[in-house]
Amino acid sequence: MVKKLSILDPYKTLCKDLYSADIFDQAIDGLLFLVEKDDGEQTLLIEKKFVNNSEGYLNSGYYFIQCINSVCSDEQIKKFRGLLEKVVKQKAKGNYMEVEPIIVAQKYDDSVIEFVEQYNKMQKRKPIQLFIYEE
Amino acid sequence: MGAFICSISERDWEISRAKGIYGNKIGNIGQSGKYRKFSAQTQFSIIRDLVGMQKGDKVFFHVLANDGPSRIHGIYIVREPPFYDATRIWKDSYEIFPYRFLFEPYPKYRYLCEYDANIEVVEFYELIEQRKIWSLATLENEMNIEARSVRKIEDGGEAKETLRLLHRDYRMRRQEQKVNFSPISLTRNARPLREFIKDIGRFENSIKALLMYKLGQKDPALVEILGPISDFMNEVFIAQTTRKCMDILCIGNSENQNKKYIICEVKTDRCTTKDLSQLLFYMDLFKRREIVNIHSDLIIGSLIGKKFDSEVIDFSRKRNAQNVNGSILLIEYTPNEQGTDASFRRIT
Repeated sequence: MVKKLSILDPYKTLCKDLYSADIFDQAIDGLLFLVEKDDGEQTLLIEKKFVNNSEGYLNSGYYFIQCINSVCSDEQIKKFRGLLEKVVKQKAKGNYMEVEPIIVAQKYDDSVIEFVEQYNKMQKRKPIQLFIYEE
Repeated sequence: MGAFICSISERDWEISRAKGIYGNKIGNIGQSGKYRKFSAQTQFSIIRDLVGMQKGDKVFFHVLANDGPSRIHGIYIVREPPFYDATRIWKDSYEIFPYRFLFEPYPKYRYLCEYDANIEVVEFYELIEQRKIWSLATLENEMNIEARSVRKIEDGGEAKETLRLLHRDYRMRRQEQKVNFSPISLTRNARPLREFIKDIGRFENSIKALLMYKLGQKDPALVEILGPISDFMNEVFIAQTTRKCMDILCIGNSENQNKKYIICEVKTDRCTTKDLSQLLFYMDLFKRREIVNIHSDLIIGSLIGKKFDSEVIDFSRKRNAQNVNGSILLIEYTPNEQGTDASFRRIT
């Protein structure tokens, strides 16, 4: 359920190079473009694109990432879902299949993991992917 | 007030129109050539479709022509809410069409009825294509969709659009002779349709019928749970292409006067995680429809059943506590001993 990343500061690392944190793989994710970032909330909105012969780059969805430099609590997952909802409305006309949500945190409260497991099982949407980071 | 569209054969329309009475059949002729009554579940579906009807509701008729395309006629209003009466009215060797209501020309648009104004059904389908009619995908009987003769449509936009087309085509699509109306009255045999809602807790359509009735009556216990409701419909298409229906859709206003839509999924017995997952999926699909303003409208999901899996209650509570993306209402129903009524209680 929770995958490990060997990095020190996920937000800084991702801002520098989207592929450097071992979250994305160019062979699978194609071309990634950082379209929005919020240093306060430590969120990134990344656009996925592929090359179409006739029309150049075409959008194939988004990643929405939040980096949390502490333990991810119930309050933080609530906030994350609120931010995700905003992005889905603004960028994808309410279609949750267009946006893949990712959280990178130091640790997760058990209740958060339990909630995310239930959410991923019951909501027919892109699942929320959880990562922890450590040196 | 609500609005309905009722299908009827061309032969029966002549009598219905003159006498101001509509009846729904209780059986059909099977492949063996013999007449058979519908199953209890199907009969409850007929009651379910009719029983939410109130005096003063608008009615259009979908007249199935013997030759050529079918037509939509109107506009009428209900003068006597649904009842059961086995007195013979129509000339059919087998069927007495006992699930009935009485109607009369809509007073403001009496001229449309007096000359039997109508539109070709293809014009109505054009409204579906344009998403101006959004609660229906078709009026035809399709393989995978329950056959229905009475459909509730949205009283606001959908009824208005249909009425607009009747006016648009009035000059061309009206009969020359004035219709002779000779409305009949209720007979002594007539019994309110509500009395025929039975076996609650045994059949899904039975509990749905009770809900439709109570919504029509603005039942205080349901209003307490759902809040004020201005319109409601059953078997509403979640999206035209999916061919999936939500059981009941209630429409009201939220506290800040934006639209509030409550999608209700009804289960006869236990509500499982699979049922909750389906409801959540319907909520997501419905939000993407043109009629919904995703930035301001409120979409609420409601599961109605006798029992709930503990995970359903647990996840709904946690999700509601986050207050993101519309809440989930879990409503438990308890049938009375006779199976003729039920009480409703909000769990979350």
